[in-house]
Amino acid sequence: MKGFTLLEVVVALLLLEVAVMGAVGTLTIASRTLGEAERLERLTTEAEGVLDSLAGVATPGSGARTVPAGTLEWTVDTTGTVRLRALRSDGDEWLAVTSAVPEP
Amino acid sequence: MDRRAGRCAGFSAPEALVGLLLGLFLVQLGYGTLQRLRATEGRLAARTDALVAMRVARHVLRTELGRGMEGEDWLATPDSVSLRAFRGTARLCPRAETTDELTVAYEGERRPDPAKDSLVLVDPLGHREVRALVGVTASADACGANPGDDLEVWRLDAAVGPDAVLARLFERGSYHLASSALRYRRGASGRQPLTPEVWSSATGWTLTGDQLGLHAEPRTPDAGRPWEAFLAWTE
Repeated sequence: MKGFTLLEVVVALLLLEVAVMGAVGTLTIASRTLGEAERLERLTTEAEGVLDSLAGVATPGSGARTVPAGTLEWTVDTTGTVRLRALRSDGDEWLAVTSAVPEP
Repeated sequence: MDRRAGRCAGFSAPEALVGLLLGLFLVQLGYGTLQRLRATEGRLAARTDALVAMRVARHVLRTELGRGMEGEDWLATPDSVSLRAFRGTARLCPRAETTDELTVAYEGERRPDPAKDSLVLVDPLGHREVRALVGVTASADACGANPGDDLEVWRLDAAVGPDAVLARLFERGSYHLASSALRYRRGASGRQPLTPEVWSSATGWTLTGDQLGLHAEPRTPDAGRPWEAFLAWTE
């Protein structure tokens, strides 16, 4: 008559499974968030590089560049204003910058 | 006292063994997870340190190289970037004769230092002459100085004609990527670190065709892909 009943064991296992699933889910989300943060950081760094390079030339031109984290697109109008967009791999816009290019 | 009841209380040996094994498994699982989390945290910190150092290096070098012209004011080699590091600008008071003493209105990020500074003198047509700065004294001549300008008399190592209107104060220096950090060497002195020592030995300059860049890798192994930064055009 001693020991656990089947119902008790099942309930205990279910509780344990919920706890484990919660922990695994948290770790998975953290890992995904970390990966996404890394990609966006790289995309931002690439965008900074493009803006830096445009600021260093007398007549910057429009263009686009595909990088592992996404795509960068930039246009330069007749006033020298640069508009840069950074798109994530899924096509969503991550960054949009408008700035005037100073004289080199 | 019921002795049989006393013998039956508690766990049997197999129960205790299974319980201990399960406990050990859980402890191992928790410890392994903790170790992995700590390793991940370490890699993340190494990557962040490398990225922050790269941003510092990029800011410093973009500022320094942007003040001069490639080939004339700075030169990049696979080992270093040598440059005239501009520290200020002075407007020269009008004068009628060739002289080695100039009265100037100076504005800069630090005081002129004859021990380490030289000048690029520029005339209205853009011609440039280089002189060493030999001495600096205060001046009372207010030849159109702006508020905040320092009025000084600069003594040069050689005379300069009356055409020069502007002087750019600079020190000779070079930037190096050595011992895991960006370092600046003023003249012939030692290399002073400008960033923490967080990069691997694979970090270096990238001279690709028409541009100078920085390739930075974290010092910690397996810390992920390197960072790249644009610094300047070389053409």
